[in-house]
Formats: sequence, structure tokens, C-alpha cells
Amino acid sequence: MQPEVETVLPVYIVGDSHSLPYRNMVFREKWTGAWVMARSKYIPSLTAHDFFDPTTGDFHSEFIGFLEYEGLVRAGRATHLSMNEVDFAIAKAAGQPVRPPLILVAVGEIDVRGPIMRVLKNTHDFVPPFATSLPLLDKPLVPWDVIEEAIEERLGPFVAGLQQLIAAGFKRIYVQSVVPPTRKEERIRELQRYDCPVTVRTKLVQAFNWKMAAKIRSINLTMLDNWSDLTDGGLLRPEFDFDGVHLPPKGARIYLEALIDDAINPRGLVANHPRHELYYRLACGLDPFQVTAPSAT
Amino acid sequence: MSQAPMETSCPYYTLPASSFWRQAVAERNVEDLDPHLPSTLLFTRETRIASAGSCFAQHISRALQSRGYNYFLTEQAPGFLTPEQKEQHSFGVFSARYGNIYTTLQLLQLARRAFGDFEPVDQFWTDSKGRVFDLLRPRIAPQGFASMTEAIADAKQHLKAVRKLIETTDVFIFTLGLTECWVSKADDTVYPTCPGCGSAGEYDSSKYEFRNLSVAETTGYLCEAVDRMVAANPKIQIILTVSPVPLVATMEPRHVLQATTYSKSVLRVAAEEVVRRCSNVHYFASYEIITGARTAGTYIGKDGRTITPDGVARAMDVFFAHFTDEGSNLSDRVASQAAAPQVTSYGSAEPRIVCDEDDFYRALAASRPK
Repeated sequence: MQPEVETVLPVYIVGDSHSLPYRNMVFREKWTGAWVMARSKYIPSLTAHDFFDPTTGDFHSEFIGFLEYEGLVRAGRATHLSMNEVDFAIAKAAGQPVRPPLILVAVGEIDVRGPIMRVLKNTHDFVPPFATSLPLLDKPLVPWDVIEEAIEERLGPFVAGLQQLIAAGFKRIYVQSVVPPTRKEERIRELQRYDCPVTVRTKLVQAFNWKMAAKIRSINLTMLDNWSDLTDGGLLRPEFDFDGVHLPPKGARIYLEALIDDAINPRGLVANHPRHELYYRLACGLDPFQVTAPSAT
Repeated sequence: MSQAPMETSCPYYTLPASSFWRQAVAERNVEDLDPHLPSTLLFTRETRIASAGSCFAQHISRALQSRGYNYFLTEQAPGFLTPEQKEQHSFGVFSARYGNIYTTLQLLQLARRAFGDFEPVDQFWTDSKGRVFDLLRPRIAPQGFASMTEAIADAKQHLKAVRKLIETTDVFIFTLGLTECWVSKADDTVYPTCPGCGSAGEYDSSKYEFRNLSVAETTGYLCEAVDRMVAANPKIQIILTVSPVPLVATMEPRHVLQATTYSKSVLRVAAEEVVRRCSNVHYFASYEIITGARTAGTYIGKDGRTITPDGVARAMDVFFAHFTDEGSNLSDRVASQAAAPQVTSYGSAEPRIVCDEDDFYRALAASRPK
């Protein structure tokens, strides 16, 4: 009897250290029961600002290296669009999906904690242009326009890079929102060498996510933001504070499940047709997107 | 009984040279003309010095900062802002972000607001894009505030900074600029400019009215402002000066030249009255330095309104010569200016002065039918 072979839905997760909690994550998604596997790449110190250089058109070298290693890019082109026989052969051997691969990018936390938060430190607060449950402290204000300008400056190259990826055929890219910061003041002091009250830094992350969500939406991508699952009273729930910076794997799992829900459910369960199967069905004159009924056992 | 010789009976013979036009003005070089007697107020580089006033007052704040004096900022720019961002958001232009204060009523209302004694009815205006402007500081946020919440919170922090300024500064320099102003019919709130004329707001004759303050009003408001400041900070020393810049436009039904003469005369009298009444109030003669009959041709541009860089530099040099120990270096400074006439003594060739009046004029010119 031939052993049963199950297909696996890979999700390519790449970014700063917030990609680490996804490492080796495997679970069955709830829609079809198929396996989901996180294939992650941690790029040390990756920021939104350094993700892509609009002046040269170059991506961060390790990002491109990851796409090449995973077989998503070969010879400078997206392999899932290639009509090259070599790419078909690779796809067949690897079970590579015909659709654009699911990619999750995690950047932004370093941008917030570095060049933006230092404008506020422990001396200032700000008023974002959206409703927030976080209080306004009795401190001098940094004008929202200054905060917004700083966020725009960090996000600009990232969004330009995403647009390049879309143009190259990677249309199923997700962006992870920046996770709520720790409540622990001493951890921020240790990391930043200055204080910044938890309500101010949390509000700053909200503001960054608010701007990033709008930009991601404007280029028809999706930002995953599970803020309400991770917070209580507007602040990070202690059980999701892994080390004062990152989520524990169970927090990352929430994001990944949100990605799967978005990728599979509204798109008619066609997330992961193996490409070689598609090629075969096309050759036989069959509808390549006809979902095969599971065989009775 | 014989009559005493005239030399001993005429009191003019006891006066110094500075009291006589011929010696003090006619026989002096323009660049040496200094209409002051020795000041009773001297400040050091450690003295906390705050300032406010009309556009011309910005020259004083810039000069204090560039010469290394302790220019007292109670509304500090956040760290890591670029110089352009600081300027855009009016950080460091004055000691707090109140923008230009043209009238004595405006100064008084600011002091009253800072101590919670006055809350304007009509302060904020929202434009068609939803941006919110503080009509009492229309240029503080160049694009307006992002929300009413931000505008109100910023105003609250601003007034806290003004209160701190009044309570803790050693010296406060105020430049009197105008007597003509626009006020709210609802509660007499005075605005720095006519709402909707080249700046934020919408002009509405049912809400706003023109007023040209009299000598009694100007002096009274100034006295009350000074009294409030002294009550909050008994050690405060105040320097008054009158802007030499003429009116850009008048709402009075008369020639702008007459209107300017009226306005500057009132301001000069008001300053004099308050200096006479209060021992801790002093006068700096920037108006006389620039507009004096012998100097005007040198220190005022061809338009009859713009103060030349040399004029600004001279006024500032005289200011520091009289109120600091820089007096001994004044002649050296004058010589160095002659060698580099395009550069003012405080470092910038053409410092940008934020002037609501000029914006009003530009807007007016642009909106007029060709």
C-alpha cells in the first residue's frame, strides 16, 4: 500500500528578530486540515527603512538571499511565474505552489524604538489622530506632524520595496504589525539607555501601525494586526511578554493563524495547489483550479 | 543786589553732552549714534532672559541665542528635531511658542490665560481638511493640528510653559508692535491678525471687530500685564522696546503713514509711562536707533519699511552694549561689521523672520483682481 503523502502549506516569514518566534512552527490549519509550516529567516537589525533602497532599486541582500534559497526567486525572477523548464522541474520536485507564495514580513519595531522614540523619551507625549484608550500625560507635546513625518520617513523605503515585490508577482505578502511593547520600564531603560513611559511608547507603536496599515492597504496588501488579542487595557498582556521585546511562540501563532484565515477562507480554499499538479491538469485539458474531492478511505 | 552769573543759574549747563542734539546727534557718525544713558540693569550670560513681541522681537531672541546668552526657553523643542522642523513649529523663535505678540492687550490676555483667569470663547478653527488652528497662535502649527484634542492639549501645555516663564525668568524683553488689532465681539479676545486674512480662520463681521487702541488703553493693558508678571515674580526685570517697523496696512480711514505715526507714538508713550511708574521696567530705544532722523536713511530699506541688516545689527550691538558687559567691545564689533557688511552680528546673513503681517499682505496681494 502506498504511504499517504500530505501537502504542506509553507509560509515564508522574513524580518527582524520578530520572525524568530515562528521558527519551526507547524500546525494544521482549520479550513482544510492541511499542514502549515513556517519557514523563517531572521535578518539581524533589519528595519523598514533598510528593507529596500528606492534610489538603487536594491533590496536588503539577505532578504533576496532568503527568497533565492527558498526557490521563490531564481535568476532575478519570481519562479512561480516562470515558464522555464528548469523552474517547472524544481516546482515539481519541491511541490511548489502555483500561486504566489505566502510571505510574512516583520519589520518596524527597530524603527519605532530607535529613531522615533528618542524624539519623545521621558520628556514628551503626543496626541495621535485616532482614538486611543491610553492617557495623555501632563508633558510637553511633540506635534503629531513631526511624529508622522518620522514614521513616513521610516516606512517610505519599505512600502516602495513591497510595491516592487508586487510588480514582480509576489501578490500575497502580509506584513506583521509591530507588537505592543513591554510594560517593564527597566527593560526599556536597559535597551534604550533612556526612559519612555509605557503609555507613550505603546501609543507610538499604535501610531506606527496605524500609518503602516494605511500604506499597506493602499497597495492592496494586508497588515496583520492582532492588537486586541495581545493587549489588556491598551497595554501588552504579561503572558505575551516573552523577553521584553518579542512575542512568545503562542503570540506568533495568533498572527500566523490570522494570515491563514485571510489567505484561505476568502479565496475559495485554493491556497496551495502544487504547481506540478496544475501543469499536469493543464496538459490534460482539465480545469486546474477544480478542487479534487478527497478520496474515501 | 547783583545778579548771579548765567553759568551757575541755568540748569542746562549742568547737563551731559547726550542732552544736546548738536553733540549727541548732529556731530556724531551715524554708526556711533547711541540714544542711551548708562543702564541701571545689567545682565550676564547666566541671567535667564525671556522675550516676546512683534516680528522685530525675533531679532532680539536670535541675537541673545547666537551670542551665547541664557535665552530662557520654557517650551523646548523635542530632541533630534532638525533646525528646519524647529523653525516650522516655532520652537525657539520666542521663549515659549506664543508666536508674535503685537499689542499690549494680547500680552495681557496671554498672562491672564496662563494663570487661568481668561478662557477665550473663540480660539480654535477647523479648516475644510479637518485641520485645527489656534487663532491665537495661527502659525504655530504650519498645517494646523491633526485634531481638536491635539490643539487643546497643545494650548494647555503652552500656557503652562508661559506661566513657568513668567514665574521664573530674570529678565523679560517685550517689543511693542501695534495698536491696531482685531477682537472677538463675544469676549474681547484679541487676535494677532484679522482671522481669515492671510492666516487661519474665516472673517466674519458678526464675530470680529477692528479696534485701534488708545494711549490710555495701551498703557493700561501694559501696566496690568506688568503688574501681573511682577506679582508672580517680584524679582523680574522687564525691558520694553518699540518696534521700528511701520504698519503693513491700516484699517483706519486714513493714510498708512499717519496711522503708523499714531501707532508708534502711542506705543512709545505707553512704554514711557510704564517705565516711569515701575522701577523694574526699563526702556531700550530700538525705535530711535532705527528711525532717528540721522539714521533712517542708513537703517531702513528703499521701501521705507524693511529694516536693513546693518540697522538690526546696530540695534542689537547697542542693546548688548547697554545691558551687558559687551560695551567695551562695541567699537571692535562695528569694525568687524564694516569688513563683512552682508552678515549680521549674530551669524546669519538673512535670518528668516516670521511675520504675520507680511503674510497678510502677500495674501491680500494675491487675492486682489488683476
